[in-house]
Amino acid sequence: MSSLMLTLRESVRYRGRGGHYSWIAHRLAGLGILAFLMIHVWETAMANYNPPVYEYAIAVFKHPLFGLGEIGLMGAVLFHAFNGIRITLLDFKPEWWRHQAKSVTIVWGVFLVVFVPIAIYMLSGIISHCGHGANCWAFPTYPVS
Amino acid sequence: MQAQLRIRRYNPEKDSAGYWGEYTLNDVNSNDSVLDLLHRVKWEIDGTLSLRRSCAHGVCGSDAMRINGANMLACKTLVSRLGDGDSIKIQIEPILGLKVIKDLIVDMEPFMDHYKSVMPYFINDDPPPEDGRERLQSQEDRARFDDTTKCILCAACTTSCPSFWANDKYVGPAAVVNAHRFIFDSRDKAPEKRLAVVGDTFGVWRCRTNFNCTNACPREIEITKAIAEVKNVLYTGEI
Repeated sequence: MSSLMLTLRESVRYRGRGGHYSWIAHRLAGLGILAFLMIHVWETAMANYNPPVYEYAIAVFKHPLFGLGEIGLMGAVLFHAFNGIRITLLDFKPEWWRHQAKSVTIVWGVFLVVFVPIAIYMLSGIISHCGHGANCWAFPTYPVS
Repeated sequence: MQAQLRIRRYNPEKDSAGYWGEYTLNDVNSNDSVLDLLHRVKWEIDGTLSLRRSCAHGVCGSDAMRINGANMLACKTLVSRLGDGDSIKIQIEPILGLKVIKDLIVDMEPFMDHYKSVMPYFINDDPPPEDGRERLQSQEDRARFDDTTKCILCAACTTSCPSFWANDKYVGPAAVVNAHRFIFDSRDKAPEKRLAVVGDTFGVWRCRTNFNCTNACPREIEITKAIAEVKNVLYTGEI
């Protein structure tokens, strides 16, 4: 009776509480980090196997869209880390289960306190990069000159 | 109060897929249970509606269903818990991850197979005490598994678990709760047999600690805590 579609659909439809939505966010953050790692490994491998592609990839990564993606990556890493610590603590300390709802709130609170300043800092970097006169929204041409 | 019920219907002899049946009930009291409303639909509007229920007082565990998105017992869920005002909307679906037989009735056999896999019965081949009476146990030893004796096998926990939706080979929270009941019983002599089942690939390690089971349990069993205690036994080797 189990299936991937059932799990995906009902994970969203099921009206769980904080732990359920933290679990969904944890999974999405994990998939985001995995996607980054795949791109990162590929692009780093190109430095050895095809340097012009590597240089082009590095130039593309300076595009504001990738800058926003980096902010998302930072958010994914931070949430995955903080929520992972919460889950680990609850697994090792079963008697703390009564604090489950509070622990979810604490994780989101700590996440926002750490992430928001970092996101603002990273966003200002993107804005200043785009403020130097060049059309920062244009993708570079291959090969990079 | 008026109640607008949206009930997931499916008759395998007529329907190729499930559909939503919509029913309106008047003169609903806030202290009516959802089971009361389902009875009124079945008895006053549509007699073909199929559901399981027996004691109607939260003891038999027959009427676990998904009410307004979350698993609950229909007989223990009062209308007042779901909302107030002159009109209320209630959505009722069968529990997830088990095959729907008809309307709100699911095939409980896979769930019961997982339950049976943890050997949920007392195992002790030692001769009974010389006085022929019960095997004594301290109050502290009894308290260790008191919470997990309360399970009524309604399946609300197991079918609220995303790990069970993803893979029905996972024994599920209810089976772990019933394994916990005997693993932590000082009189029982077969904890290692149960730990072999719940410590397997499809045992407690599938738990993602999202507390859906704890929140769904109509008996308020601390299920995620019990699962974590079993995990602790598995990696420390100490009960």
